[in-house]
Amino acid sequence: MIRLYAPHIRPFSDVSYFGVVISGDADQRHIGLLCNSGKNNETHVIHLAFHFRLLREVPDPLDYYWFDCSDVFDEDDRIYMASWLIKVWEKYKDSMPYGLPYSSDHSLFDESKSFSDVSQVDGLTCATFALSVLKLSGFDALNLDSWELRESDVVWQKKIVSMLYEDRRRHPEYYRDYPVEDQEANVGVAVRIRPEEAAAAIHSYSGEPMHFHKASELGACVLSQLLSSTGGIAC
Amino acid sequence: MLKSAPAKYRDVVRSHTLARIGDCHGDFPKQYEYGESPTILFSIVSSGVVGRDLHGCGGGLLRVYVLGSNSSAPAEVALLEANSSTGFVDAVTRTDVSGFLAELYFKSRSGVDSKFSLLSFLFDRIEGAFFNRDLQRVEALLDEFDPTRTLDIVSVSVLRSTFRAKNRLKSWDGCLARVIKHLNDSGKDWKRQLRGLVGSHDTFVRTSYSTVL
Repeated sequence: MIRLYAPHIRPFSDVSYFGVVISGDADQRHIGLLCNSGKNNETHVIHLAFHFRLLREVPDPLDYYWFDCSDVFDEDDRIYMASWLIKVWEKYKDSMPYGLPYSSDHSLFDESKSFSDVSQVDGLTCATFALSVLKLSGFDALNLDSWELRESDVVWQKKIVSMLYEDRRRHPEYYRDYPVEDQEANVGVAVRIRPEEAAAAIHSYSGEPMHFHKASELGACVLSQLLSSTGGIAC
Repeated sequence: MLKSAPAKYRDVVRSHTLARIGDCHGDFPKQYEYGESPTILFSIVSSGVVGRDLHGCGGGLLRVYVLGSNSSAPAEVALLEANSSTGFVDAVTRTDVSGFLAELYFKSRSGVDSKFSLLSFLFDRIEGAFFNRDLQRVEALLDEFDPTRTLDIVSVSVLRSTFRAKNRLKSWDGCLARVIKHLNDSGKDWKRQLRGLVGSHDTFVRTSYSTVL
């Protein structure tokens, strides 16, 4: 059962080391990972906001809904995730590229290297960043081989490429080695993992990667809770 | 090679001696202090040049003496030497990793650091090595890691934080085997603790699982 909490119902201070936040509307959602060094300590959200902007912030309670990971990950696993996540942010906060494709064959990450080796052409989205943090540690939450390309995702991909062009105009310093034009080749080709599907897969992690159909179904549940604007309606 | 040090100094020497190697420039011997009461004095002597410069030390031979606070006669407790520069670098890496692990074990036992802080200390070392493409250091850490001397969360985290490179780290499976054995001997649910790291499809599990336990 997935239950999203609105922070005014259950505050972020209830997070026990590690959790997931999601925000947005029907057109655009965003996912981040919550971390703290123990219950009642200040909770931060770490999220890939856009190209070269891996942010660590105090989450705005008006923006985000969140869910607890205590039922899925044991305390030691949550401590691990929180501590490692902060280390990832420290090292790659200014160098994490944004991009559409996400592969199941580990080609995104040369296994001897690190996040800094994510290809400039590939990059990650907010959802694939969240999944990658888990996957690199052995928690492979999604079965990417089962993933399907959806027409509505192509619309979203085109929008993202436009946003990358616009962002390059504003921040050319972020794009010196990043040809946005190359991202166009991914439109309609790369599968998209939606934030609510990533959230659902993490929430329901059982030791085995989740199939596309199950993730879509649970993702729709997460989305319906998010759009209800009341939170807390489990499904 | 590291000569065996008296037990009471062993962790101290491993933890701090090679961290000082960056200070090798200049005249020797150099003295360092460690701890408050009693203060332990280190004296480091470098001699011999094998050929490859290492942080200005010249490579070759590094002797470490430890003085107790009431002792005027230094006792050599650690000696690093190598017949080649590569060997020296290997020895330095090994000893550096030994020092790090000794400190990690000490922190684990002391209970002063929270689990969160303990892992942060661990990840600084591992992520730093990955960031610097220094797989040799990760390899040495995995090879030497002893799960019986630390907390379960640390043992599992060593494996998780290096999991992504396991196919290039020949010590990874051996470390996994030691962790499984320790957790199993302690009556822990290691399959749950190592979720995602070990699968039934894993060659290691198929071929080595029976011998591990």
